[in-house]
Amino acid sequence: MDEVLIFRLPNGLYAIDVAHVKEVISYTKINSVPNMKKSVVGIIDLRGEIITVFSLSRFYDLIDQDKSEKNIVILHSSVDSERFGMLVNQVYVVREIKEKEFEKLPDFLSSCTYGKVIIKTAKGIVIWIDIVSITEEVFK
Amino acid sequence: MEEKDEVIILKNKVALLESILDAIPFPVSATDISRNWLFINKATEKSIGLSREEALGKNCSLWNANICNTKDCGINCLERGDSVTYFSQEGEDYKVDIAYLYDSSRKKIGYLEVVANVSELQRLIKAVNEKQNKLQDSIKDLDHSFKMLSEGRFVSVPISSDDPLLGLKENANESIDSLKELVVSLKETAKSIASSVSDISTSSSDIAKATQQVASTVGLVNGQNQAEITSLEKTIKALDAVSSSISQVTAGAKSLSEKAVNVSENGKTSLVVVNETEKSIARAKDISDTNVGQIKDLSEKMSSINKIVRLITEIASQTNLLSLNAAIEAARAGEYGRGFAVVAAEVKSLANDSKKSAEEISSSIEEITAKTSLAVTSIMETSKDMADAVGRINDVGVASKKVINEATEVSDTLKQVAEESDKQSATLQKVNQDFTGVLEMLEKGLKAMDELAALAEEVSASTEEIASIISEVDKMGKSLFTMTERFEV
Repeated sequence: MDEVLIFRLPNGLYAIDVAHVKEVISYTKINSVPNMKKSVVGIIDLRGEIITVFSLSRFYDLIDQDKSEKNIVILHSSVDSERFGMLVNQVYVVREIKEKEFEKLPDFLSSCTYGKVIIKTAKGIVIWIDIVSITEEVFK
Repeated sequence: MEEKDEVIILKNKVALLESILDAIPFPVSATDISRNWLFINKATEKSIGLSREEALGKNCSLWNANICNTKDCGINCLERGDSVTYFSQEGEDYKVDIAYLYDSSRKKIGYLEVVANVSELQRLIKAVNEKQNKLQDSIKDLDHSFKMLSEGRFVSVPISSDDPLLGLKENANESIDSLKELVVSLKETAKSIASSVSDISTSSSDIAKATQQVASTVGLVNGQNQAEITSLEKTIKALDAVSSSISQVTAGAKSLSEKAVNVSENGKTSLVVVNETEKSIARAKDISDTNVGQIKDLSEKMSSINKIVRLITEIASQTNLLSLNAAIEAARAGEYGRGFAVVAAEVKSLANDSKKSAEEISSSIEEITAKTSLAVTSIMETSKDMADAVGRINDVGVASKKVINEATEVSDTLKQVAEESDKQSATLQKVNQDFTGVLEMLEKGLKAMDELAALAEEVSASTEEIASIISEVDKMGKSLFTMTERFEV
């Protein structure tokens, strides 16, 4: 039995393993820095700690027209103590997922979405993505 | 010797009588019964162009007057019993008085003719007659004009430069002119009142009451004016009645003037009412302005409630985030965090409930705000309507003021009419005085005629006296003649 954090991007619902999540904060001003990679937005000051923030929408090349307030999900790497901020449209809930609720993702989809499985919920389909691979790709 | 003395005395007496007769400045002549001259005085010599010696014994027709040898000859007239005749010679008029001459035995022995130049007298009579005729013509002119006046026509009295009644006629014309002016001015007054009234009647229907009062007053004015005109026409028919009619006019004008003043007072009262109404509406406007203020106050309070609602929404979203983080922590705690996760879910659902409530409050407030703004709009409209009403009431006020002005004007005009009437009375008194003047002139003319008659009588009397003197002279001459016969010389 696993617990996931479900959030929204412009094109649908996504989930990540809650074990990688340190906390969720409301939107705060992001300072841009020069020579950044395409997906990186900038840095924030979280209680005295400087954290680099990237946008998952930009990583997926999604066009974001949603003007409502965004959330930043603070992630911590399982390898070291380094932390990242991930900008998403809105965080919904922390949920338990039972095995019978998800299905395996087809291979061709898995490679381009970094998705692991598809969760079928009452609110619709949720793609459970591999956040470790994504952060490695963003910050490699 | 004695006889000679007596002759001398007689001769002296004859010389005395002759010189007396010669001294008389108008012709005195005597003829015998066959009309041959016995004696002519110096004035006669001058008239007939013959000396006494040449004339004696010659026929008196040698006088060559235009009555000689006619039935109007003085002696022929006397024979018919008429002792006076007239003739003209060389442009002068003469009167001839004829008397018989008698001897001592009262036997008719001849005639005495006394000729008097009456040209001057006749010229005088003629002048008097001419003056009399002119006076009559003048009086006829006056009579005609006054008759016309009594028929209601204003005809000026014709005036010539030598008119004997020049002053009187001028005064009469002045009277006729001022009567005419008065009638014209009364008619014009009636017209101007009528036009004033039509102005007033076009004023706002809101002051219908005041307008009706004016209209009825003007009806009175017209009626009164008609009465004045009629009474003036009657006035012209009888000059005596004029004065009393003019008094009526004056009284009528004064009472009308008072009525006009009443109209003016009524107008002022309505103006007061208008002012009161205006104040009431202004108060109503104040109240509605206060309402607008209160509603604005309310909407300010709404917006502060809105702020609170936004704060609640904010808190709800924070709480939601907090519950998410609690759930994350609980997940990390694994089995131990399970109970905590339930609390976090409860907190999340509470946060969602309060967010929903805040949204409901927000939509309610939006609705209230919309309705409030509608109320403000309608109050604004009411306020504008009230401003319009104040404007209209101001119009009524202006109209009322106009009524007051018109009424004052009417009153002033009527006062003028009263003054004009007073003036007219004075003119008529002057006409009466002039009539008295005519009477006095006529009396003077009659007196002059009486004097003329007296003068004529005096002349006649003196002629008779002369005749008696002549007859005495003749008597003396005769006795002288008889005496001289007794002498042989």
